[in-house]
Amino acid sequence: MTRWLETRAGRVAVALARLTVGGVFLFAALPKIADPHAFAVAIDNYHLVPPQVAQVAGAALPVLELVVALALIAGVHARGAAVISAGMLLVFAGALANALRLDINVDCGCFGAAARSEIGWDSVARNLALTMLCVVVAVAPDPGWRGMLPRRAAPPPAA
Amino acid sequence: MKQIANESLRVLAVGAALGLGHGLVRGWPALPPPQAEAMSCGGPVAAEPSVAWIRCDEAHALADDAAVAFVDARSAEEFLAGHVTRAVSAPIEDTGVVGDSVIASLRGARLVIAYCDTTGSCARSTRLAGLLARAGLPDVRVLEGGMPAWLDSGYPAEAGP
Repeated sequence: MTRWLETRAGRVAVALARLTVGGVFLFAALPKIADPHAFAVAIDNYHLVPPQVAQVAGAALPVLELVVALALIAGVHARGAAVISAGMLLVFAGALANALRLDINVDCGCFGAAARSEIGWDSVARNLALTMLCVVVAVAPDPGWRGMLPRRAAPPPAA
Repeated sequence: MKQIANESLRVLAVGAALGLGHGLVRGWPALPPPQAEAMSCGGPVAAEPSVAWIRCDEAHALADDAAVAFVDARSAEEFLAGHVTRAVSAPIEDTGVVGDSVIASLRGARLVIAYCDTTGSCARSTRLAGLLARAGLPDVRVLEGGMPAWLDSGYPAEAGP
């Protein structure tokens, strides 16, 4: 797979994956940063962590999402950002699946208070699909903007 | 691989530092105090914060305690077909409220455990627990997994009224 990612089509696919995940994280982070209180309440409603942890995560997690989004979009440390975002997405998917398993009727909290949405297995599937895109970015040889440039031909061997 | 690990640590360090700084500067978001609040089945709503969960095995260990009461949030028909032994029927989906007689019968209980079938889109037991907590019952919890988990564990159930 990594060989294909080095082709022109592969590099375009990696860039699209990077921008998609970055865009989703950016879209998710901004409303949470604007209203950390609502996000902390959303975390607390999952009953997975103590309230004190929900308070810290309510303020800190959206900023981490923003940093990850900017790194992915800018193509700076994109593979590292993809690994971190994949970890976050898997944690979110686990929390959603646990709430669904227990039939807890909670707001997703995925995109802040302004975009309230009831949780469902489609939310879990969305997170897993984004995780797959993160994996593509993480394994790509050069997922940054430099990777989009045409490759120079290797210099001929010296006679 | 090492380069990916280094990049991950850098992104994580920058994000965590800025996130914690954001919390320190703006203040940590306050959570609402626990309160009993009825939930609606229709829309996306927050779970009842004052109601805790109880695992099936924990509930079963307490089942013989006369001061522990089980409340069935399912419909009257489902209750008649089979329910946790000694449970009280409170089919809130039909009426949206808990009858005074049900609340009166639970007044002496030190612990009330609400449950439903968990298969519907609506968390009836959580809603019922919220209503009971608002009615002043001191310790109301929701059974994890509801009736299916109770039966799967082989715990006692009975049919009829």
